[in-house]
Amino acid sequence: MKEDTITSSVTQRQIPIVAEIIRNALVSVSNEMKIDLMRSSYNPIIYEMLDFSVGLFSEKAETLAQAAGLPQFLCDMPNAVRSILEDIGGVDNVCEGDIYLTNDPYTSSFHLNDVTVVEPVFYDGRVVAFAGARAHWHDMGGKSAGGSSDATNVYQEGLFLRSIKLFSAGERDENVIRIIQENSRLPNAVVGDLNAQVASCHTGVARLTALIDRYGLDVFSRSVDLMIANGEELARAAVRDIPDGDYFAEGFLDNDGVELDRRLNVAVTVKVRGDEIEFDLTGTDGPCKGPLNANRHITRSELSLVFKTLTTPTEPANDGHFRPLKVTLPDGCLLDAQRPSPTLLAFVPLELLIDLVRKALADAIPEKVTAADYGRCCVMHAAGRSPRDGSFIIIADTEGGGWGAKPFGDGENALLFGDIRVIPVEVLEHKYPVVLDRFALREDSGGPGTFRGGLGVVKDYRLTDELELLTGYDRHDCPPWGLFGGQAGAPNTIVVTRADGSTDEFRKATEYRLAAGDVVSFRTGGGGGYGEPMDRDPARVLRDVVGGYVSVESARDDYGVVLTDGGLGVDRDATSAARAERLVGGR
Amino acid sequence: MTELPSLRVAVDIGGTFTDFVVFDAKTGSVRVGKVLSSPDDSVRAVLLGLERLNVDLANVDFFVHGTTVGLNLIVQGKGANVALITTKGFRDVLEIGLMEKKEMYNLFYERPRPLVERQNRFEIDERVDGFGQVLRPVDDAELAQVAEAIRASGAQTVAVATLNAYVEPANEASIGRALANELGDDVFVSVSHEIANEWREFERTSTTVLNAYVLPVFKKYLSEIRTRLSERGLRSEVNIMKSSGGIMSAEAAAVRPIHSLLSGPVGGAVGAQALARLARAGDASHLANLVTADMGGTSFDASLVVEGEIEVDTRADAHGYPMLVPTVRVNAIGAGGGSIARVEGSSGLRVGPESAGASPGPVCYGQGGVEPTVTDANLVLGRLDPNGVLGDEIALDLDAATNAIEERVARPLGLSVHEAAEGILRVINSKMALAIRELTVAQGLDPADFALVAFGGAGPMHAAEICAELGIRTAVIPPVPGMFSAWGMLAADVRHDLSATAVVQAAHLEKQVVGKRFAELEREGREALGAQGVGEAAMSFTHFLDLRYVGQEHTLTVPVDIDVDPADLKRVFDEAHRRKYGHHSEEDAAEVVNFRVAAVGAVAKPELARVDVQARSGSRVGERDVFFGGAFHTTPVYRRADLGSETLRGPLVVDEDGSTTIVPPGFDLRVDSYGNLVLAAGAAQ
Repeated sequence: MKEDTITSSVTQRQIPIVAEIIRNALVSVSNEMKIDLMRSSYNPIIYEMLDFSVGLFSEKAETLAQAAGLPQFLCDMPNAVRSILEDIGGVDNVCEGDIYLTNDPYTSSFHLNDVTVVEPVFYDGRVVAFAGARAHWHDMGGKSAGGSSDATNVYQEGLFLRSIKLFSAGERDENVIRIIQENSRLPNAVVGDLNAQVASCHTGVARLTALIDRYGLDVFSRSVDLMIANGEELARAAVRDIPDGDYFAEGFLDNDGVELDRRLNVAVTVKVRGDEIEFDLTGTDGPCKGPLNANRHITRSELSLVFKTLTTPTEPANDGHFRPLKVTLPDGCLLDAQRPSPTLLAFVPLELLIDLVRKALADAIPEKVTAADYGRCCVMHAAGRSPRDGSFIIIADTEGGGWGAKPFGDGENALLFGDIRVIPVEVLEHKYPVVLDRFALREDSGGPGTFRGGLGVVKDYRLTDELELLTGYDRHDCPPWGLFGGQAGAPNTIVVTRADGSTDEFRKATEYRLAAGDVVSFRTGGGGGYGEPMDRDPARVLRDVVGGYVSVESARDDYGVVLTDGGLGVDRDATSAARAERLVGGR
Repeated sequence: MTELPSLRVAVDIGGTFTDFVVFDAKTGSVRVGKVLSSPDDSVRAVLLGLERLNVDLANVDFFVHGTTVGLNLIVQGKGANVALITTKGFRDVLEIGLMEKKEMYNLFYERPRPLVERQNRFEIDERVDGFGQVLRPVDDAELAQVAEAIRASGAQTVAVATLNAYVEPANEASIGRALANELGDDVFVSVSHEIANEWREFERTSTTVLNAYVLPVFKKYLSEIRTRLSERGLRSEVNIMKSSGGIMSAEAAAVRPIHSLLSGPVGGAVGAQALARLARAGDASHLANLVTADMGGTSFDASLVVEGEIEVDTRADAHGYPMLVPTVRVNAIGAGGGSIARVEGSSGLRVGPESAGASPGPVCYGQGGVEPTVTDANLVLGRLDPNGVLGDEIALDLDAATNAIEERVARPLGLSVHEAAEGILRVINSKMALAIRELTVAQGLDPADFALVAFGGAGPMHAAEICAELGIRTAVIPPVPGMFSAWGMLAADVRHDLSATAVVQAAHLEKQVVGKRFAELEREGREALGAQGVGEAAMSFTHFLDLRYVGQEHTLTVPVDIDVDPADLKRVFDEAHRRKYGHHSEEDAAEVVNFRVAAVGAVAKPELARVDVQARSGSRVGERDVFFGGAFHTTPVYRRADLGSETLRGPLVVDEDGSTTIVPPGFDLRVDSYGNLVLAAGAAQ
C-alpha cells in the first residue's frame, strides 16, 4: 500500500483534517482489537462480563485510543507498557516480533489476575507505538481458587509474571506457556485467553501499520500530537469551569478482610487552580494486611476516570485529556501498595475514592456530580463441580447495584460500571450447580432524596452441590451517602441460609463452604439520594410505591408522604402536615 | 377482455417520504414516485402515491411494503399497555437486564426504561431447571388469580416469559393457553418460546415484550391498510418487509410484528442481493461481492452481500431494546448530508454524528440552519449544482453555506473555505469508510474485494471517495438510487427463520438427532410458508448451527447440510473460526448451541431489463466548476438517461431526479448492460 501514501499532499495546514481522520481510525482499530479479544476468549469474565481492556499507545506509552471495556483501566495500560520498558532497559531493547506480558500489581492493574500483553509496532525499523490487551484471567494459582480475600501477601495470590518475554522475534517461548499452565487451576482457559490477547494485539499492530502506511510516519506523528494537544486543551477548558479552591472529602472501608474490626480511611483533597487540578490523598490510611492495597499507578488511573467523567465525558480518551491532572499521595499508604502487600481487592478502596472525589466537588459543581453509588465492589467467585460433567468450575459474577441520584433525576437501578454484563440466570443454571430462587430489585434500597438513589438487587442462589465461596463486598459500615440532604442507600451484604434454617451474614469471605440445599443471598446496595426527601414530588413517591420501589412505610417515614386508597393515592393535606411537622421537628 | 394482473408494487414508508416503485411484468417498465409521508395516518400517503402513479390496484398481483410503524411506537414510547408474566422471583428481569453501562464516562447515563411498568409484571410460582426438568408445575388456581389481576390492570396485551422455557416449554405453554382462554380474543398473548426459542432470559423476555408492545397498534394498522387497499380493488396479499430481508403476509405480521421492526434499511440490502444474483447469472462480474452504502440526510447504513448472500444476525437492538430476531446486519452511523461540522477547541474538527436533520436542515436550505453541514460543503465545492433547487421550490443559498463554513470551520482552523469544505467531506467519507470496514473485518474479509453499491439521496455523491478510502476499485450506482430500498423489496422472498437451543458437544451428537432437530424446524417452516400460500415447489430450506468451543460463550453461525455428519462439525467449525479470527484450536472440542433453519418461499421477481445504451445520445448537458484535490476543475455535466456506451473519464457529474453522482478525477464511468452506473478506480492518476 506504500504507493497510496499521501504524505506529499498533506501540508501542515491540513493536519487538523488528517488528525480527525486518524483520531476516528484509531478508535476503530481499538474496537477491532476488542471484537477480536471478546469473541475468541474463553472465560466468562471476559466474554460475558467484558473485564478487559485494549488500546493503542505511543512509543512514550501515552494513550492514543482505547476501546470501551473496563473503564477503570482507562489510563492504566500505559503504566504496564512503561514498567515493561523500564524492566528491559528501554525501548531500544525491544525487537520486532517481541511480545511481553506482565501482571505486576505494583506497577499497574489491580491484581495478579490482570494480565497485560504488549506488542510493539515497528515502522522504518523503530518502535513507533504499542498495542496492548489486558484481560482478567480466572485463576492464577495461589492459595484459593480464583483468589482469596484473606491473603496477607502477594505470594499467596498466585503466579507473578513481571515483564516476561512471551515471543522473541515472532517465536513463542513454550517454557512460559508451561509455567502458566502448571500454575493455574484452569490451564486451558488461561492459555486460551492469552492466545486471544495475542491475536488482538496482532490486529492492532497490523491495522496501525496500515494506517501509518497510508499517511506516512511524519504526518501520522504530527496528527497524533495535534490530537493529544486538542484533548489537553478541551480538558483544561473544562477545569477552568470549576471554581478555584480546596475541596475535601473522606470515607472509610469496612475492613480489609483480615483485620475485621479495623476500618480503613480514604481521604482526598481536590485542589483546583485555574486549569490545573490536583488530587491530594493525604489523610488516607497506611497499608492494610488484607488484599485491599492498590498501587499508585492504578490509583492515578482511577482518578483519571472520575476526572474524565467530570470534564470530557463524550470524547474517546487520549493522553491529552489527563494532562491537567496531578496526583499526590503519602508514600506507602493504602493506595501506594508496596511488595509484598496483597492486592486482589484493590478496586474496593479505589471505587470509594472515585465517589469521594464527587463528594468533595459537590459544593463546587453541584450540577455535575451524583451521590454515592453502591460501591461497585460486589464480586463473588465460587469454585465447585460442573453439574454436566463434574469438571472443576469457577463461577465469577459481579453484581450491579444502585447508582447515586443525579442533580435532576433518580439514580439508575441495578447497574454495573462499564460495558460489562451480568451472567444470565439461564447460563448460570446450565453451567453451574445452582438454581436461583430470586433475582430482583431490592425494595427500599435507594437512598431517599428529592431525587432517589437507584435500587440494588437481591440474587438468591440455591445450591444443588457444594461450592466454595470468595466474596469481597464492602461499603456496609460507610453506606452510599446522599448529597444536599439526600439520605444514604442501603448497604451491600450477603446472607447465607443453611438447609437447617440457620443464617449467617457477612461481606467478605474466603473458602467459605456451602453445601447442597444452602441458599446464599447477594444483596447489593442502593445509591444515595440527592436533595431533601421532603422536597420530593409526592406524585413521584406515589409512583414508587405503586411500583413497589418504595414501601408505604418509607413513603411516610422518609418522605413524609401519606397515602390513601391502600397506597393508590396521596392524601395531600396529611402529607403537607406531615412534611411541615418534619421541618419544624427535624431541623 | 380479462388480463392477468401484471403489476408488482413496492412501497417504502419512511419518516419523511413514502417511496413507490411499480414494475410491470408484461412490459418490463418501472415507474417510481415519492410523496411526503403522513405520520398521523401512514396509509393516506400510500393511497395518494398510488393514485398519483395511476396504479390500477385490480391489476396488482404482488404488493409489498416496509413501514416504521412498529419502531416508531418504541421510539416514541407509545406502544400498548403490556402485562408480563414471569417465574416467581424474576419479575424484574426486564429492568435488571444485563446491567451494562453503555457510556463509560457518562455519570448521568440512563438506560432504556422497561416497557412494562413494575406493577404490571406478575409472577407465577412455577419452575423448570436448566436441564429441562419441571421442578414445580403451574398451579391453576394461581393462574386464575393472575388472570384476574391482568384484567384489573387494564393491560391490552400479555407477554409470557418464564425461566428455562427454551429447553422445556411445558409450563410456559400451559400459562399461555390458560391466559388466552381466560382473557379472550381481545388480549393477545405472546409466549417467549414461540417468539424466540433461545436461551438468555433477558433477551428472550425483551423480545416477547417488544412483540406484545407493538402488537395491538400494528394489528390495527395492518387491518386498516388491507381494508383500504382492497376497497380500491387490491386482490393480492399485502406483504410486509421483515428485518431478515424476507417478506411475510399481513396475517403473519399481525402475530409477530416484531419481525418487521428493523426492516427500514433492509430493502437496499435485498436490492443489492438482486444485483449480485445478476453477477451469478454470468455477465456482471463486477457485482459478485457487494457492500451497500445508503447515505441519507442523517444516517449512513452499510451492509454486505457476500457471494450472493446477505448477512443475517440472530440478535438485534430496537432503540436500545435487545431482541432475538433475525435481522440483516446493518452498520448504521450518524453520517449524512445533514451531519454538522464544528471545531472543538482550537483545532478539533468534528463532523457528525449530530445532524441538522430535515429541520432546520443545512444552512443552504435557508430554513434557519446556522451550523454548516456536509450538504453545505458539497454545495460550496460545486458538487451540488449551485443553481439547483431543492424539491420544486427552494433555491440553494451558496453564499450562506460559504459564510457558515468560513466562520465556523475555515477561520478557526486557518484554512481557506474550500480547503475546509473539502476537509469536512474527507472526515465524513473516512467515517463512512470505517463503518464499512468494521463490517468486513468482523468477518475476516477485506473491503478491497467488494464493489460498493451506493444509493440514498447522498450516496452517489460520496461513493467514489468512500471507495478510495477503502481500496475498493468499483462503485455501482443502481437504477433509481433515491428509491432503491423500495426497488429492493420487489426482490425479496417469503422467509421464516426458526431456531432451537440445545447445548451439546458435537462429538456426542448422533447423526439422526441432528436430522430430527432440523426436520422439526423444517416442518414448522413448511407450515408457516404454506399458510402464506407458498407452494411446495417454491420452498427451500437452509440449515445452520451455532457452534463454539467448549468453554466459550459466543458462537459462530455456520451453514451446514441437513444430513451433516456430527463427526465433521469440529473441522467445519475450526475452519469458520480461522476464517473469522485468524486462528483456531486443535485441542478444544466443538459444541452445538443452537439449531437454525431459514425457510424461504421463492417469489417471482422482476427481471432487471437490459438497457440499450447504444441508442443514447451520450452528450453532456453542460459543465460547472467542481473542487477536487485542492483546486477547481471544469467538469462536464450529464443527464443519466443520456449516457451512452462510451467509457468516460472523470471528473464529471451525472444528474438524475433526486440524486447526483460525482465521478472524481482518477475514476472512469461506464453504464453496464442493466443501466447501472459503474465507477472504476485506477485510471491514470
